[in-house]
Amino acid sequence: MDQQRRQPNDAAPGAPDRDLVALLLRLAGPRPEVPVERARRVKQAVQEHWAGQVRTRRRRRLGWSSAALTAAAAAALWSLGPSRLADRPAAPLATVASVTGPLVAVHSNGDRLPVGAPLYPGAVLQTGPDARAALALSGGRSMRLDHGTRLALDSPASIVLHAGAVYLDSGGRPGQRAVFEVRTDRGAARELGTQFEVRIEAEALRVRVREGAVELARDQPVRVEAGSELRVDADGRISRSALSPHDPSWQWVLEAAPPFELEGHSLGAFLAWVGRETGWRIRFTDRELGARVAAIELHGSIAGLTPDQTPAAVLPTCGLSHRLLDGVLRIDSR
Amino acid sequence: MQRGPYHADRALVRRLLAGDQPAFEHFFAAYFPVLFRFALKRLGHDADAAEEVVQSTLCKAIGKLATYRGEAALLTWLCSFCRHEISATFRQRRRAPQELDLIEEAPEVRAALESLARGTEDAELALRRRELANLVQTTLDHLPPRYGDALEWKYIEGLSVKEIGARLQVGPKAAESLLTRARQAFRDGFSSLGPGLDPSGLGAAPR
Repeated sequence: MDQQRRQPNDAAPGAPDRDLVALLLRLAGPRPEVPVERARRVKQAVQEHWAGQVRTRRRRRLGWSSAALTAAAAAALWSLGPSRLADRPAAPLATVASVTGPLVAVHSNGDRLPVGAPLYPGAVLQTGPDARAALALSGGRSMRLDHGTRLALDSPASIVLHAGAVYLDSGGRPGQRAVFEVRTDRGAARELGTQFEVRIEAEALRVRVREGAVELARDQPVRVEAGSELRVDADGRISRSALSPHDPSWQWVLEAAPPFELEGHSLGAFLAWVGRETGWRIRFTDRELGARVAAIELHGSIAGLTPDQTPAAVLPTCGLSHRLLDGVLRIDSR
Repeated sequence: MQRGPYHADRALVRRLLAGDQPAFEHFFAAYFPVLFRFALKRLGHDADAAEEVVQSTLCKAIGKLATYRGEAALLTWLCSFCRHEISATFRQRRRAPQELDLIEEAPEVRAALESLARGTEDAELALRRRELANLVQTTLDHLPPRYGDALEWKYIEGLSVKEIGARLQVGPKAAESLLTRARQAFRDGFSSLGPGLDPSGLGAAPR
């Protein structure tokens, strides 16, 4: 830079002082610029962290804990209610793991279902237009219900989806459990893998697979592989397209995810949960660190954060840094 | 109502706690470059390490924002987090911090730098010529961000008062007034660090 391309035009009162300031600054030269790409990366990470902190603070102010206590008490009352004791089978098919907005039991006069409520075969559930819910299914699967979803719990291995969308996650161990089926009036999506979504739209049935594979039962079964989407329109025409496991359209699944109990769990278990929920691949910059995470015990709470927000809250407390690039969460010991 | 010396910093923190997006933009633009340079010098100019340290510094500080009481400048408060992160980096690498001989690490100089935000003059220190550039830039970093930028634009880039006003989105008179305050703040800060400095002894004369 040409430091003398223009002379200051303020030489009047106090000029000697100004000259001294000008001389010192010119001798020192400009302060080093921060590389734009570094600033962008850090800003993104810090902003996510800040936004998460703000959300958490707001939820706490709204009396999150008292709401949770109320929900737990309601769940206990609901499950012990005399009208339900008489015809209850030995074991529920599912329990409500988390809920935002109204989730109602259509089979039971529209009772609102709280967290912890057990659900039995024949239960018909409905989420409100702004509600989402997560169910913990017997056998370890997790199911998410998007806005405006209506479904019936049919058996331990199947549901009937009448409207809206569900997301199934069998926990990352394909082939170890009985196949699960989501039946609709336009075909049944049969799980051959572990993470997929079935959505009923106005003019089409949509199946998206994040991990593993799904077979759509029709006259000719159609297989849908991980990283792809299949649509069957009202005329039965099929179209396919690609869909990344960490595409932003999976965000609703993260927002409906039940919370991870941080307290007492290992960092390894936490990272496995983050990877499973977000679709990110977890990588360590060295093997020693990868082996060590199982022995690091975590404390505290990440309530109120979606899974994609949690690494920024947890990893720095373990003396670790992280970067997310192209669906890979790279973790480093600073 | 009495306004303390760090009233503006406390107001910024309140807005951050309330989730004000423009406040975050201002916070990041004002403090990230300063902290990055602060860390870079102390980490042997390892830019990757500085980036990680500053990211961690800001995340941890944001987590503790509610505890900021305005008893020191916000930058001083952030620098304390940054120092901790730098020490943690060296501990993890099982290395001792480098002997950097940074003049601004001397306790009197740190106190003087902190005093810049409220415009006082304290310490008396001799300034060695080889540290001049570092000291001038450190002084600029510890001024309110608009002051440091305006001085650089004026005396290094050679912008006119009108052009500086345009960058700051203020009129020429307001820009001139800001420059006057910036020069005063720079002089106060610099003279508190290097009293008795004779420009002619630096091997250059005022132009």
